[in-house]
Amino acid sequence: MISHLRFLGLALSLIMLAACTGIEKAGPGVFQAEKSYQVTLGKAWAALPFDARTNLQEMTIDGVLLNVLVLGTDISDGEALIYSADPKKLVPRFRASMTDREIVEFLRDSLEYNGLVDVEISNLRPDDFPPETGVRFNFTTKTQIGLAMKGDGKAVVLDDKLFFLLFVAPAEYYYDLHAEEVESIFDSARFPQSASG
Amino acid sequence: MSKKTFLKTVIVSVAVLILAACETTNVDPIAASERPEETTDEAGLWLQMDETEKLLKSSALVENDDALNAYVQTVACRVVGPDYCPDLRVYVVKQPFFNANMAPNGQMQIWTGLLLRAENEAQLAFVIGHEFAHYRQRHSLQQWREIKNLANASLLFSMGTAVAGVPEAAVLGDFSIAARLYGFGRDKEREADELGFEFATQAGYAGEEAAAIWKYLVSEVENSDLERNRRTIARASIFSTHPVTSERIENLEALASEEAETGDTATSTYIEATGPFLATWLDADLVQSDFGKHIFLINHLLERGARQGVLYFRRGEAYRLRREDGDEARALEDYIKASTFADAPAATWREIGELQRRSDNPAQALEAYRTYLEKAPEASDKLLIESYVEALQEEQT
Repeated sequence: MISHLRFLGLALSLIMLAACTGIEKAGPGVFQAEKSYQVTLGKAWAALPFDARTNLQEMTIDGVLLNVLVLGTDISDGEALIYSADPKKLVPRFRASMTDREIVEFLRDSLEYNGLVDVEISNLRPDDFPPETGVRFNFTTKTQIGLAMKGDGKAVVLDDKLFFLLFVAPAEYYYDLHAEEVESIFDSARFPQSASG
Repeated sequence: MSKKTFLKTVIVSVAVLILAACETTNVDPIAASERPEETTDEAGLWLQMDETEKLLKSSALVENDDALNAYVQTVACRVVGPDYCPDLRVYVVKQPFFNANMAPNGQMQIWTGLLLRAENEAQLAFVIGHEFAHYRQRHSLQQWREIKNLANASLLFSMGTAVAGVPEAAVLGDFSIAARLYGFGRDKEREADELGFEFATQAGYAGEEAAAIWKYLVSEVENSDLERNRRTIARASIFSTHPVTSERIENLEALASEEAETGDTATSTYIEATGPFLATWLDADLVQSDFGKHIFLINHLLERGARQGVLYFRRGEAYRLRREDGDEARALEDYIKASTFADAPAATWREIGELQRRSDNPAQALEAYRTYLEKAPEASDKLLIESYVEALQEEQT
């Protein structure tokens, strides 16, 4: 199935990228996302190379298929989270005028476009992302082969740019394994100028 | 013996060996409850498909709704008849594209994008008949043998033309193999269309619906936001595995004109069975972000006169996300129209609230948000909307 191939392709690309440029250790301590906000990591994470094409950085503790924290930074109006060599490709695109709920909808659509199935959002609520108020949410989904996953998200728009964090892990065992750490990372997200606040 | 004579002798000898290795592609249709003998190449194809079916069964892409699955299986059984019915296993697959396929072991996939676009049961029946024809005529086995034989023949062709000093022709030989590797090939698709038409009309369905679904698809693609998609309609080349669409429509219309009686479209039954999934399937289609196609599809569905609340809401959603000039007003108009129908989703009032808030109409926004929270007290975004209500109330005081 094409989607399986896409998933395998993505996994292989990640491995190849990692082999080329190296995975770096991040944390414990403050981690500065590329040209963006910072988070405080309570544990040591493996940070994959920042992907400048999509402005995404992935971090994991046990491997990207078992838990992955995605830091999205500096996404401009009209940009997408799905990379394509074809700039005209029809994919979900961020709009600076999106409301908090629409941003969550955009993240959900991007996950589904990328092959996750039945992404169900829950518990949307306002959440501090100093110096702004952003939005926080939880979600459940499934991989195409039927593995149940759980995740969390947090996002904010600052100066018409989107910044967000997404965490996703298999619902069985792995989601709960680092739940406290992830909660703490999400709470710690802030832009440097407001680090003291 | 001259060098040229020697080469000719070698080529003729190899040709004899290659032709001897060719397998017949002339196979009989499969009988009801027939399974291939274990030692055959056909059994190998079935074994591979049995393995993929195991994966499919546990996949999250398969729709598990009992009522929908029972409905589609019932339509399939009506089309293929009671003898073949037990041989077919139909899976509804959650994919937003117009597609269906059938494996040689009897597993059939019907994608939700097809169910979304079929106007009635007769159109679904024709597609099922088409796919069943591939199965009954053993097109997969024929295709497999043709590819093997073609590979052998191409080797022969390449050797012969190279000796004759026409290297470019050798390249053409490989090119034709590439064309055959895509899909079933135009002749088999044409046969499947004709047999599919026969199966569906013999089951009592209206013959004209076979061409109607293709006509609709052409119109939908013509409205795509992407020029490349729009161009595919007219494209015809060596790689066209399906008959060129216009030719296909003409063939099916000609077949329908020969029918003495008009059959059943079973439109109301179809709307009843698929209606509960309309909002979900349209939501998945919108993720593909082809607004032109999507809005055209909704307009087409609106013509059926059913599920108007859902459809106006979904068209409003498309305008809201597209964000072209005038789309905000169009979206609000559609949401307001949707709210007059009993089947309008609760989210209709949330979106009215959002647009009224953006338009600086706090009173109307508050009213709409409150209606939304009344209609969806357990909404996943309840806390967020409550925060908007609170802020609006503060603004007003």
